[in-house]
Amino acid sequence: MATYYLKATDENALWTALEAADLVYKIYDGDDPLNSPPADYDFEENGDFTKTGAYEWAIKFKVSLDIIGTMYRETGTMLTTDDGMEYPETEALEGYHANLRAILTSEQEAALPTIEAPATPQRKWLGE
Amino acid sequence: MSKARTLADCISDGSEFADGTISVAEVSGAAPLASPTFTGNVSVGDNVQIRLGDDDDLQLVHTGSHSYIQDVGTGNLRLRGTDVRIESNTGYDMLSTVDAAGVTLYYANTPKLATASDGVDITGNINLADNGKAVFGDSDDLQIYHNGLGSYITENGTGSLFISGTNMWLKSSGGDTYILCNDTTDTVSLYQANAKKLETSSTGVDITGEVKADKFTNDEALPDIRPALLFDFANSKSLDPRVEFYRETSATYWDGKSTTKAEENLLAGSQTYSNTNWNYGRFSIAQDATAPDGTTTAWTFTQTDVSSGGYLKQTPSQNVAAIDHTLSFYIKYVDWEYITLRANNNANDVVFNINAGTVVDTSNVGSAITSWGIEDAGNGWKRIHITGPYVAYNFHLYLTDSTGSNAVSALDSTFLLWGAQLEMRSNMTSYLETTSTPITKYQPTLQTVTSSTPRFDHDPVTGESKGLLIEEGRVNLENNSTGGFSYVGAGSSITTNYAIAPDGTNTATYLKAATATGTKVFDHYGQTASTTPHTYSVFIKAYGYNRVGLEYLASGGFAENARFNLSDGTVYQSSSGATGHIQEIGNGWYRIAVTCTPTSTASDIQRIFILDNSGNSSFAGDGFSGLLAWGYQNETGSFPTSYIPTSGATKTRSADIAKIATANILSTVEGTIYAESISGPTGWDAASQYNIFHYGDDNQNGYGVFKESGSKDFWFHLRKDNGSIFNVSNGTDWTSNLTSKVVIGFDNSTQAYYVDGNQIGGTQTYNMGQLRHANITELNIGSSGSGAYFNGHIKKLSAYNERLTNATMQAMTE
Repeated sequence: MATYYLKATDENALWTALEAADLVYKIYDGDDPLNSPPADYDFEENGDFTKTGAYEWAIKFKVSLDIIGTMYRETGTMLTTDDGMEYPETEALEGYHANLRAILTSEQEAALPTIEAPATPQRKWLGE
Repeated sequence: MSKARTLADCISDGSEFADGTISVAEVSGAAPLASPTFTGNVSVGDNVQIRLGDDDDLQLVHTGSHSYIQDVGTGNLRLRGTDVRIESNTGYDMLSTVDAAGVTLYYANTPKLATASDGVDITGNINLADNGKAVFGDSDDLQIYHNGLGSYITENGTGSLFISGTNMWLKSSGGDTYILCNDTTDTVSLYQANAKKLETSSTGVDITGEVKADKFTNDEALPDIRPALLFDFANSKSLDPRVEFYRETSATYWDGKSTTKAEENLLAGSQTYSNTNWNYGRFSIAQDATAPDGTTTAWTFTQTDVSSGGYLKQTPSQNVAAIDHTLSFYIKYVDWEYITLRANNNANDVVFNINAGTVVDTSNVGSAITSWGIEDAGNGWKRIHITGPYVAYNFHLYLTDSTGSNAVSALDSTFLLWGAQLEMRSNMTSYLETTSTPITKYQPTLQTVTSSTPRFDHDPVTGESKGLLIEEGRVNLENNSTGGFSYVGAGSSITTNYAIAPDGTNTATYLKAATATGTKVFDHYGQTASTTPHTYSVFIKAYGYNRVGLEYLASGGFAENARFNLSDGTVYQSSSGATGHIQEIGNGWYRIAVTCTPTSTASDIQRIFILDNSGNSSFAGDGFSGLLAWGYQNETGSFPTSYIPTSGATKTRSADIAKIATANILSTVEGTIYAESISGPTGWDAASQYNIFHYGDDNQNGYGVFKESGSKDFWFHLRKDNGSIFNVSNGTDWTSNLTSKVVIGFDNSTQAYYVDGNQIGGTQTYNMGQLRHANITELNIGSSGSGAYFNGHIKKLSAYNERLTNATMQAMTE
């Protein structure tokens, strides 16, 4: 297993890339009418029915994905709570982040928005 | 010698025979006389009888070999007397008959058998030869005997054979236990090689190990066929090789058996220097000073010798040991600065300046003392300590000069002394008071397993085996779970690596409350909140104060908290938006947590605040009391999951995934799947969907038993093509920490579901011909196959390739 650091432009871009790398898949809600063809749907004329309803992402077996999302860093400014306690101000960093551990082919790697391993990752896998 | 006189002569004149004797020959032929009186011996020769009675009924004779008293006439031979005895020539009792006291038989003058009002009393053994029986009952109903080949207790009469006792043991001649009937617990236990294998209980029997039977028949409709799968996780604590288990990361759990030595003090009377365990000289002592904990238990030591420094010593039970020991004293300067701790029978020492708080001379540590130090303990108190392989060997505390010499003139000089401690380890840990005897405490040790190793978790206090732990992936957002705090309230302080933590390392932190009146807060901050439930947890132990609060703060004035009482293990107060959790883990440690949903996504603060023992948040500390803390965890979720250690970065523990490919093992046409589980901790019931098991494909099609998101019911579903065929629920809360038994049964035309003996939703009649059986490929244990992890324990899971009857399924889950 190797650790990959992913940075996509947004959440949807990340999942789309992971799907393209065959690491995740969609589970459509079969109770949503938009995921079932109408009774009069003509497959010969329209081809396969395309599901456009609700779904959730599922991660394939032996793929570990840790969605970090938006990352923040401290600005160096200290703020004060209503009761007078200080805490550091933070600002959002660009991109939508995730850590991935899996065994990937070169084609899968190419489909992912990987970045160089940071020198001091904000988040690691337990045991690292 | 005078002429022999006849009996008639003697009797007629009333005088005695001259020589005091009378011979038979002399009285032979004399006429019988009434009531003769002899005043001397009567001698009768061998084989000459004294005959009494008209028919010579009673005869006394000595044959030359033996003596006889023989009754040959009418009636019995009767000996009468208040106390009649048969004795040996030396006067030892052999048989005694005492009026109103019975008959006693003796051996070597010692009573062995005596009659009594209720029978006989026997002292010593009763030896019966082979085939000799102890027989009881009017009809020989009970017999106990040995026939040369075996020993028997035989009851063959009226009634039953009863054996009773408070605790009855059936043991081998070598002492091995086979059966124990315990009246205290009302249980019967069977043993194999001294290991308990079966114990009765109020609900049935508890069997340890494998149960094998050629056939199982029952009268309560339980299954009488062998299951195709039987995973008894709680008892076997192992994973069947057919189960594929995967977790990308390491993880923590309790193994129910590992413990770590925690607090230890090998000195007796650790703060009572007047008792006999201590030996001191050239000091006068008085317990009259304020100790570090605010009590008047500290001692004033005053030098009473003009030319030589006083000493204090105690000889511990481990006086010589070539393994590291650490000796420490709480000490306070009054008017004498230099104190020396000597070890290795006074051969090696370290000199301390207790005024300046420094170590001033280590030139004579040798190899006996390998480390030393002096720590600030507050209010002018210091804690001095030395460590080394011979520190326990005849140690002394001396009043000395700066070089360690006790040849000093220090009359009337004083210092204060409190808790002394000797620990068999290489570092000083938290102080433990002793009274009459040394104390060593042990605590359960949190275990870590490597990736893809299943966790068979236990209750850390009771050791109860809880089964296979299945958790979703979680992140500890605290990037230093054992480290210091980002902020400590004014006057309060922290001491890291102060006490033995739940993982067995000396990494617990001492949180000391400020003496100034005010709140005592210890913060972690800098993590980013989100508007989803967060849970902040910490392992905590009372150390002077037994109440503590946890608070979650965020910008915009968000603040939620819960308060905990560590003396009774309760959450005694929570703010309106917070849920408190507490779990005892042993040796005074608790894991406490607060769950809330921040309203801001800006920086947040996780706070521990010390409360005094009345629950006040603003108070004046005594300068010593506080709490021990370790294992800070901030995670996204409505309840705490297993501890995730971090250091320098936030860390992710990935999910536990257990599943079995069911082709060629389980039928897709009909079957029964049973599971016994324990739901997650407080807050679990308020959260997402959690599956006990799912039999289907990885698209959530098939059969599932789960708690639905937003619902607290037990739900069962059958899905195909990602759509629900039906969902049924029991309408009953599936609460946290609940042990439950569930079962589903299905065949081509019917489906039934039971929870804890109750059928849910009635028998369904879906025609299975419409379900694509080919999609049922795997049995997921504790998940849906694509997530929805159970976040609890699976104790047992079994599957049968038959749809068991409804009655059987009901009985299985009762």
